[in-house]
Amino acid sequence: MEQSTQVQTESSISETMAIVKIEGQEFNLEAVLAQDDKMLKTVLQPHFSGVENADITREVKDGQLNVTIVKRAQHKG
Amino acid sequence: MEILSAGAFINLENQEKIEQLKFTAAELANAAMETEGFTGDEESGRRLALEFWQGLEYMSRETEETAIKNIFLNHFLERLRELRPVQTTTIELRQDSEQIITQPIDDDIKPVDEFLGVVETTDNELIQTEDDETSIQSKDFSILENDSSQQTEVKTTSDAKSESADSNSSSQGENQENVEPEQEKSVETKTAVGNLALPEKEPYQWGKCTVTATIQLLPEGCDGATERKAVLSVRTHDFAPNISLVQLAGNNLTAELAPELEKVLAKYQSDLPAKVMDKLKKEKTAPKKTAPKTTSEVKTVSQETAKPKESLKTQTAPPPAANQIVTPSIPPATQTGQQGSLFGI
Repeated sequence: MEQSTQVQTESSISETMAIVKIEGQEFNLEAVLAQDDKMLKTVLQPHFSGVENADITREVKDGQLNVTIVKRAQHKG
Repeated sequence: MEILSAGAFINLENQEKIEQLKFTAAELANAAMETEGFTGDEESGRRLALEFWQGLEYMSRETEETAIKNIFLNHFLERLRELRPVQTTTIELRQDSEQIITQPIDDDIKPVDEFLGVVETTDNELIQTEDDETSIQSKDFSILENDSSQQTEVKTTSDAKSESADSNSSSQGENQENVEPEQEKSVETKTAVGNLALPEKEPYQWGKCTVTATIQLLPEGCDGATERKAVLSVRTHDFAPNISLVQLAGNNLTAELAPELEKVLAKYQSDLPAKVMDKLKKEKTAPKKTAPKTTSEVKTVSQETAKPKESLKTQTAPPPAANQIVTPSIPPATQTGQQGSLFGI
């Protein structure tokens, strides 16, 4: 089961670009695309196949959305 | 000339080592051509040269590593070309032609970035390094020609049709040049088909690595507007993708996508060197993380070295025992033997 947690802070998202962290990489993405789980998975699916079953954590720091995606361990075999 | 042994240190200042490296590359190429089943074509030769290079584990300065590697690869491939009968015929054709000789001059302009992996050499570059004398002659020859003729030569490489139109109005000597581009084209088409095989390790160069670009057309809005948003993402190797959201008018999607895609590709291309630099920096810092392991190994070694001291102590321990044996030289102890010495204390 996928797990999506969102840490709400008092400050709302003011930056148009969000920071996405996945597989040890960090890159910018339009905040509009990063706000929704389904949209985010659709966008990242071509490049990160494991994003489908991943834990997505969102956090807003200084008006910028930080998204951390951690792949879930799959069963062997 | 001696073959350079594996793991040897090479620097560009040491000409003897460089000559030995060239000789080694040539000898390896000879050995490769003698092996059965080795076709000796361009792609397999390049792969084999890279495998040889990795296996030889030559040491060099980081700044000179790429240059030395290129020397090795060039001489290996050069030797392979010499041994190939088909390639020699093409080389002869090119030597005779005046027109193709101008192409290596254009190739020299290509920038060489030492951080972007091995710069692959084209056929023309190798031919130029192979026969320096012929290239010098050709350059002199091209200097003797008029500027206008050089312009027509450049046109022949870019567009054969325009060149043929120009050549109709020119002399018979130029008409002979029309035949040669056709030969060149046939060679180029053969190599284009052969280059479809992807190498295991692609260089970090925009033109020489697989670039994945995806277009995702998001659904239209509920209000019936024709405007459509699209997500364009570009990625190569295992670098982070460049994902951008664009808005299209929706009238002609393919035509509207083309300029946006060009922008995204151009941006990623410009960002690629920085990404490569970051990756190289991370790779350099990675061995430092493993350094504590070696210190722990040292600790274990020191523990092991400490153990012999203990054994030395045990070895030094017997003298008091010997003293004990010496001191109870009383007759009852000698009667009971060892048991008596143990229980007698």
